Amino acid sequence: MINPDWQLVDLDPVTWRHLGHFFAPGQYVRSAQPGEHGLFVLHEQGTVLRIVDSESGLRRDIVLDTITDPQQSAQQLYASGEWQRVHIVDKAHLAHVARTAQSNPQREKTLDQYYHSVYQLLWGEPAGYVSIPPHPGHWHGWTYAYLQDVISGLPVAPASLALGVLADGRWQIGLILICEGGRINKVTTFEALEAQSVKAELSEESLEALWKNIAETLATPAGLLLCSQAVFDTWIQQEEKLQVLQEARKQGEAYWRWGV
Amino acid sequence: MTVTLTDTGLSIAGKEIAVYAGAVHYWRLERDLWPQILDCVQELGFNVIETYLPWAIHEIEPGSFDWGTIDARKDIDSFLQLCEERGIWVIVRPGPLINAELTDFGFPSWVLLDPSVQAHTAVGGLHLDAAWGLHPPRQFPVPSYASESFYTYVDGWFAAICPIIKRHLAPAGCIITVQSDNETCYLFHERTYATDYSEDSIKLYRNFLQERYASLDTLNAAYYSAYTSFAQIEPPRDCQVQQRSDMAWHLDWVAYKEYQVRWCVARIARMLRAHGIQDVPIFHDVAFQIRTPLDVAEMERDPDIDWVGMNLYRNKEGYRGGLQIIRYLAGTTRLPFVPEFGSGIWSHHPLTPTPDEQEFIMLLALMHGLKAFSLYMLVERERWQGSPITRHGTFRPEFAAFYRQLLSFAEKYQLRTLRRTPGVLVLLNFDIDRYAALASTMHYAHVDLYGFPSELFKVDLDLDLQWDAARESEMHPESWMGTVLASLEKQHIDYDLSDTHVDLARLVKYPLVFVPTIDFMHGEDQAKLLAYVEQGGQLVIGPGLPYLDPTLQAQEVLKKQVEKPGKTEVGAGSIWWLSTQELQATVEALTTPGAYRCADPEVQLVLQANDTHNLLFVTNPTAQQRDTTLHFPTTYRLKQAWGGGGQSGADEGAVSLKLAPYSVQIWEVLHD
Repeated sequence: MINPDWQLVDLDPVTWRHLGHFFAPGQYVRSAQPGEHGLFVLHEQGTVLRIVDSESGLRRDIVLDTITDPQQSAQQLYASGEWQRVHIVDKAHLAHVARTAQSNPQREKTLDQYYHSVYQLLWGEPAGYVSIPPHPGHWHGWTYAYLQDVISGLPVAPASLALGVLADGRWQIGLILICEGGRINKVTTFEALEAQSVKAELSEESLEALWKNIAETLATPAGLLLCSQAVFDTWIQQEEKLQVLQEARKQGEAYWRWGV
Repeated sequence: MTVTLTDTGLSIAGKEIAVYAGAVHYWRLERDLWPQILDCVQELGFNVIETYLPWAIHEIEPGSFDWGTIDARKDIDSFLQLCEERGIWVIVRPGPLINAELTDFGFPSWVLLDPSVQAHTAVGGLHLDAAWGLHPPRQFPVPSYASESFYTYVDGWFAAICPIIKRHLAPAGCIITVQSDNETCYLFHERTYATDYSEDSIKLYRNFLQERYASLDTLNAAYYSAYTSFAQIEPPRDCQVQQRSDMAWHLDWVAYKEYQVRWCVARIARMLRAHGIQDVPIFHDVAFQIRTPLDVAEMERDPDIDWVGMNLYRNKEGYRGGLQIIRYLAGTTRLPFVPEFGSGIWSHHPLTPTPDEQEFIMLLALMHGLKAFSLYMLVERERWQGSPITRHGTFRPEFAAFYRQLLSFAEKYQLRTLRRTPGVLVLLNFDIDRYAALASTMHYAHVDLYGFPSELFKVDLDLDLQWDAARESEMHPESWMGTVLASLEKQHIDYDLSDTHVDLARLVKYPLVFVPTIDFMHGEDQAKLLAYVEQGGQLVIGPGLPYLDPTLQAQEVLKKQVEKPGKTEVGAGSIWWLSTQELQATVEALTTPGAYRCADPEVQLVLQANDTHNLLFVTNPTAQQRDTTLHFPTTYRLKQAWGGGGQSGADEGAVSLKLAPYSVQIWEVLHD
């Protein structure tokens, strides 16, 4: 999906400050969530090495010398109600993930494919890393396969996808992707457009003006979504994506156009 | 040497200049826009720029170089000539590693894909980059800096680029200093057992052991082993310490990792010299590490490396880490230099710094002793954002305004000649840090992605020690070191940081030195501290008194002088052996607050002076506005030089301060 030679240019700092938190790849891989109270049991093929509570640190008081059934042990610990999530991790499994992921230079994979292979290695061995509750298999409803389908199924080439998020009378996010052959080749922001037509408002007129501007300046648009910050935040987090947008459209807080 | 390092900048054929620079990547900017962009650079007040010289950009096929004939933007000769015509000095960084957010970090792909070049991990895989955050935009096999094949390739690159650099060396040309490699440290995988286990690295490790021990008998005695050849020795691949006799083997691997970094930076510097880079200083930039495997004091002692700086990228909330770097540079290096001072940020960073943040971090750094910097980036380019000048040769006004004001301020007050006079040096204990590096595990690729607590990576060692090495290795508030720092800051005492590898000549410049100590410390470091005391220094140690060396063999240098906790007079000075609980009172007793005082303990004050100006820096490093009063001798008046237009009246001895969150004010101290 990510072209190894992609261009990222004319990045409006305000847009980028609002997008930055999406760039940490760990959030798409891990089951541990920020701020969550978790218990981590590290063992090596059954022999417990260390038990760490994410809030209180080392837990020498928990008597657990061996793990024979990691799923059962995790369930039992979770059932105590003390932690929001229990992780039972085999150190040998983590070494295996690292060794396998890096067994060769992996040059045929794009960066996202490479990270996805790490994700599959981590969660593909049921006893290697047991998490209760388990990893959901998606990130707020977004899946890697869905995003791949979108990028590779665009109706024209090159095609642009754009997003405008409005708050406090200005575009907090004004993002444009240029895609071709299933790859994102260029990433830029509304800063790359003719400034006079980038009116900061949510309306059909604004949608059309931006659509035209992107077509003339960068590449044929295949999709453009304009919405408020509140709608954007909800859209990212909730699994029923289309429903969120349809509700927002009724309130005049989201406008979009899809297809050439 | 035509260009030499001074205390405040560089001297070029006898004329001293300030090193206030900024990065401009010629090959990423339209050739026709170079003049307009350099106009912008000079309009902001900059007369020094910096650029990488990117290997993979110029060497487009093995042995085939583009110097502008195919892509006009790669005409480095013309770019340097343009700088010369405009009187702009240039710092160049020819790598071989540059990063620069380039695909493959600027290494040619055929170099990376040569198996004899590739680094290996402890678990048997290659070491791929992209294993730490989202390094864009493709994973690549990291080269081993011990690989002889790698140096053969590098030599080919230097043979091509160095004649161009040589033609432009100062004073006739514009190039005033050259960097040897970039952020050398296992490409961000510096943890002890992560890498490098390639064949050439293990060979270098064995050479290192041979240098260190001279004979197998000596090594066998230290290792409790029976090797018959150095070739039999394998490095540890995880923490396997079960008893004291295992320590030397592990510690030597930790020390080897430090050695490899120094060895290759020095080797690359020698290669540059051999290719004609003479008469200008060669420097290196450390990414951010003030602990093993970086040994900055030792690196600056290397005769092939003239100067070591450290890079700094911080948001306001992370100011404390940035401040540590600046204090460490001020306490350790010849000229406190940040070769990459965050101005804007790489495109995959989680939080773009705002203009206010950039101002706060820069002024805070200058306040605590920064003497030379290069903004990275002064001119924006692909895969970068938030710089004062765009790639189109226009300003981003909200970012440019601060730098324009800063350069003008620097000129007016001769900023580079202003001096602090901190009387306190706090040393990190290198041996405690090595112990923490040794007693850790799970240094595998990608574990940084999984959200594990840091405690999960530690290994508890049962070695019958009296004091807690793991606890004292961190700067958390309950540790001895954390208590020292908190006590100094509460008293508004300005201090520098360094580590136990610093030279005695630097130690004796400080009347008071604090060092966290536990059961063990290298005998040479103990002897150096003792010499400092004998020459009149006040040395405060604790919570423990060393009686062992780091391999846990008897080593009583300080213990021979100190019988019990408290104060012991030795030579012309004293050793204070204090518990963590006794520290705060002793810090108060041993230090004298400055003439400028502020009731708010959160507010920081530092006075700097040169022959004509006295400037008082006042910082609010918190998220809340602070309203407080600054008290000072009535013989002085204060006039605000940065951050507003206030001033105190005559004979008042006090001024009210309103300090915005995360802000720095600078006041000029005047007297009749």
